[in-house]
Amino acid sequence: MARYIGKRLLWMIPIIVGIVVLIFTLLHIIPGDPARMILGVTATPEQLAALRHNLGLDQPFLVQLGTYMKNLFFHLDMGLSYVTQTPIAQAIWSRLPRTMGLGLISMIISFVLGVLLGILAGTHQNRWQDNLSMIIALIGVSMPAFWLALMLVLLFSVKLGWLPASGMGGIQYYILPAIANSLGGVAGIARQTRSSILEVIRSDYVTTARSKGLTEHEVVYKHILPNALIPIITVAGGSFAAVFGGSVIIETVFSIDGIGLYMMSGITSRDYPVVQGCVVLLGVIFSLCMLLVDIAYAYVDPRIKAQYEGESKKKIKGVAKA
Amino acid sequence: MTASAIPGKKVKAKKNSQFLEVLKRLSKSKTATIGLIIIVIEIILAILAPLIIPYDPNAIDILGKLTGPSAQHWFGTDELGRDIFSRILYGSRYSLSIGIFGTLITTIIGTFIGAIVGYYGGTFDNIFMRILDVVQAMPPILFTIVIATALGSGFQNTLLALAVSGIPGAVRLVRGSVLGIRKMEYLESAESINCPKMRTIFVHVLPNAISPSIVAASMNVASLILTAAGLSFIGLGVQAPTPEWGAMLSASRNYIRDYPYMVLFPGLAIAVTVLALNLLGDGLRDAMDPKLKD
Amino acid sequence: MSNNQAFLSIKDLVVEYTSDGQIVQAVNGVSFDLQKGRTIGLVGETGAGKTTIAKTIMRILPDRAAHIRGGQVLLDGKDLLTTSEEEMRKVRGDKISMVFQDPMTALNPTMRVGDQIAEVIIHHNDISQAESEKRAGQMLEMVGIPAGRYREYPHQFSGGMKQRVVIAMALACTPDILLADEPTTALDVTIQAQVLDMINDLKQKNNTSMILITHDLGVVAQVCDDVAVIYAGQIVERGSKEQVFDHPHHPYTIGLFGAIPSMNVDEEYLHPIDGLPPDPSNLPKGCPFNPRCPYATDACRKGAIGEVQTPDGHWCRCVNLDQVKEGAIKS
Repeated sequence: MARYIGKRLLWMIPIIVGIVVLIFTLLHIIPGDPARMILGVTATPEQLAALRHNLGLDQPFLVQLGTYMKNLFFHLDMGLSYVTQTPIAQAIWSRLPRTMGLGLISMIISFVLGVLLGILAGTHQNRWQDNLSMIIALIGVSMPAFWLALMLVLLFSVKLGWLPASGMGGIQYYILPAIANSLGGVAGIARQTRSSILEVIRSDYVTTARSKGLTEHEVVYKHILPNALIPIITVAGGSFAAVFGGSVIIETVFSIDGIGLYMMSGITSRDYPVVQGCVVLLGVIFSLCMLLVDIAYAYVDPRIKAQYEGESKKKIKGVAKA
Repeated sequence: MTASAIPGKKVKAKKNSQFLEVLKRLSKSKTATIGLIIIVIEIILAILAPLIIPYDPNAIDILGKLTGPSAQHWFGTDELGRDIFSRILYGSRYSLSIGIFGTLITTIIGTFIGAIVGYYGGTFDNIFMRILDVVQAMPPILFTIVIATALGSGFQNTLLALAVSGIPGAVRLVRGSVLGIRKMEYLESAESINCPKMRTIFVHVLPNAISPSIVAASMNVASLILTAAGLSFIGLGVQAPTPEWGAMLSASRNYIRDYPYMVLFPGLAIAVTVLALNLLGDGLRDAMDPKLKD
Repeated sequence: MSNNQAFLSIKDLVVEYTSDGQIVQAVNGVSFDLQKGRTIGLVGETGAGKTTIAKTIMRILPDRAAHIRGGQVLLDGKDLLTTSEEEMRKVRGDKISMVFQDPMTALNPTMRVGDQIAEVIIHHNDISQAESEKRAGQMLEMVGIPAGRYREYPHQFSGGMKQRVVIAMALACTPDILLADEPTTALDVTIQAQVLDMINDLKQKNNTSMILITHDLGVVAQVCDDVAVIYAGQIVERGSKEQVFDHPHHPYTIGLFGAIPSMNVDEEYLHPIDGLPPDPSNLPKGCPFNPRCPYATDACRKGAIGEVQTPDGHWCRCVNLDQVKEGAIKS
């Protein structure tokens, strides 16, 4: 298992390099002159040329990319912000806890609530519990998270005054953002949980479990759920992506100064190194989450674990496919 | 199946009957029918919007600004006195066309690439899939945001950004089903009679690999509408004063404290549309693959 | 077959399935008794309702699709069909347990095999986790699997080994009755014999009664004391193994024996029963076998057919016993 994880971590290196190349290239093709943006319209051509030289913008594209990657991978340096002229890595680092905190809370809510709702629906197929859960889930996947966020603010901040509408501080500042950010995940996971439970519930081994005289609770949590988890984890992995991606929008709505908001400020002020740094970091975090998902597969299903362990002889490409 | 008596018409008759069968199963589902009806009505309204909206969506009326819902203005007026009902109705043109055309582009290009990659396999497939690994190692919305940033804002660029960022997923899906079909025996027989490769792919492989794509596409329309609204909301997509729903929400969020109806209606429009599409998509999935149904 | 020692007694059991609005008659008034320590074989074709009978006794039918329309399942005089679910859970796995047809799918793939055995032990006995694990290990040894494999998962076992685990699980609480649903059908022929022998030995050791469901008359001959032949949800003939095997009276039973190729005579053709089993959602009126029966008369196509006693004292559901001379069907 350790071997497998090691291999997967190694495989992340080319992926991250790929992400950096892709993002760098995409943001490089944007028309416009960063030097002009930094110095404004009053700058002289000499000033502009000097700044371009300073920033390395007069170098060929590949040299710029190489320099960026060297600084990033060997010095963890993401360069300076065009706007504030301060190191981007530091700015991101100081904002990371807020984004991670929101992300983690949202993920936990998504998973726990989604699975519970799905179990309720799956074990009461076509009864009112099922219908109610699935209506909630359907509305959940259909509502834009930012609109839900606004509606929550309207109800809990404006009308009831229970929770702050925006800003940062204690846990109460995270409640509404976390709910808004996790609803889509809850809904998606609930729908998947229901359908994989319905698939497993007809298995022979569930009948075996019933024939042992186990209680319904034991049958569900010891025999049905563990076998239904694999597709649920896959969907959960996807919704973690939505949670981290969605943080950009949710942080904007609630003015939480995390990586998402920082990235948005980078986009609006055309501060592309900032955007680049944020996307790369969120990409790395997401890749790590996906690795955790793959490890979770092995933990849940001994057959997959055996497959991972047996794969040490095979090429790494097979691992990436799994 | 009576038409199958005529040899030449056989294939077509079978396809037709399959299509009818799916439609029949679809019509049996109440929720899918409701979804379909809502979507059809919305599309008709969107097409007829210029003829039926009570006010010009961009007509400014400062004196009549920020009035709540009333008989004259069903959904009230915004900060510039524009009629919100007219704007939402007109805005459906943007949201629906982004969803539908974006999905069309994604599906067509994704299917084309996926079929070729899956059919040829080997090194070509390997290289392509590694590129997709990189793209898909990012949360999709981030990739969309970066492309939208690179392309710039506006309706067409947003449409393009959303379409492009959906392609990797579509490729993977089609490639997967093509790989499954690749092993079937009838392909060997097609190859054994020297059927040209492209013809094999598009005549023998694709039609049998397409149904997951159709289901995915129907769901994709919904998610594109959501993402587009999100992009517009953070200022990257369609820009004000265009009456796109996300852009309307973005402009109205500062008024949430005193004029909540301004935030309520555009969001409801998005939610109802996406809900209807999801109902339809669920029904389509069950109708296309009855095995999945309980 | 005197009734006074019977401790499991099935009376007039009727079970229906509903699917897509259609009603399927799975079990149509089945009655039989089981005595302590004896084995009864339920013999019949696939879809005749054998498994449904077993699942009804355990009350583990899929509760949405299946409906028990009538009858009683008396265990020591108590009707299992009307006891509370809680009471029933104490019966399942402890007093009555079941071995399923397909060992490949009968075990939970995500749970260690030992734990799957220990689970049923700890559930029905007031003992510690450690004690239950020790006993589960002993059960494994008893079915011929080294206790050292306790911590392995089902995918690490062969089909025959899995079925041994299932049997260990079923016998872990020394049940009074074992329901074995085609326990050897999914196994290789050589493994079949081993597993049957093992079931027989364990059963005799604990004086367990057994209901063996099978379509294989050879298995019945090897293991059973009594036989009930089932056709389209009805018992068409029942009696001791000797009675039914040596003097079959029902045309269907006779046909079944006729379909077995003899080892002694060089037969060129098999003798299958003509026709197909009836559609259970649309059973023929009267005797369900009448469309395939060479002796069918008008009387067979009218009302329900009652059981009659044969000259040698077993029971048969046929109105034309006189015409059906034993062994007469050799078309």
